[in-house]
Amino acid sequence: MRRMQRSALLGAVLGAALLQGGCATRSQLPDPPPLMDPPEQAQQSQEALKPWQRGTLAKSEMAWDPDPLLADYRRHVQFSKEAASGGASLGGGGCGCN
Amino acid sequence: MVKAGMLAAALLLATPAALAVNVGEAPPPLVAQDAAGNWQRLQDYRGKVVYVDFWASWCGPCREAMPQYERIYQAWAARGLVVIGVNVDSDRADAARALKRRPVSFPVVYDPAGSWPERFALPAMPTGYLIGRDGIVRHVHAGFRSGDLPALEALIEKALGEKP
Repeated sequence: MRRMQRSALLGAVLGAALLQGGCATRSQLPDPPPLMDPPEQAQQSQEALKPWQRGTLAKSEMAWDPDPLLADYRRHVQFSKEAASGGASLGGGGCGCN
Repeated sequence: MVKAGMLAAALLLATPAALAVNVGEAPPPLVAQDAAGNWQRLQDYRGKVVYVDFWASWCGPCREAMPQYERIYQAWAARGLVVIGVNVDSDRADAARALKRRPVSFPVVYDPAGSWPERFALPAMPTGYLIGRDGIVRHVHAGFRSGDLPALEALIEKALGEKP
């Protein structure tokens, strides 16, 4: 019984310490500064690209990997070197054999 | 406050869903120039079945669709089918190159500013609008897959069979 009382007291003390210790909650954090002025932001969010406006995006130089062969080669080098961590994909087993 | 409300209403009305051309509606009065500089007007083809195809050289499915539309046009032009290709490339040379590789005999008009796709509020690229002899949209074909062709051909044939 005494033991229970003691653990309850310890819990209360710990809880109070946490509350007192400035354990920051979201509401206590200052608001992050806006990335840009609100009107500018609103203007940009309205400028969604329409299906017929994707001509520039469709150019080969706009691709993530403009040269698929070179990108594949680089990926091969990376996962061969980074075998333990699995390269750019899922975690590897660490055996080093790819 | 009233201003904000009006702005909200305007934005709501300006959404593509509100503007999009749907089945059963009259399409916007498409007028644009072809390669020779002649004005092509959608209303001039009243009484015919018109398939308006919005395409661009950078769009793979559009390029795939062109020879198919050419085949359909050749087969049914005598029965009153007209295909109008509306090119939305910002550079006319890109369109010319694409047409050189896949020549078509139906009229192709150019809208580099993209004002007509805006008026039609295209849901996708390509989009085709099948317009009946009465000038009312019968079918909106968003995107293109070769598997869509039998159903599309059936719709065109049905529209061709209708009385103006």
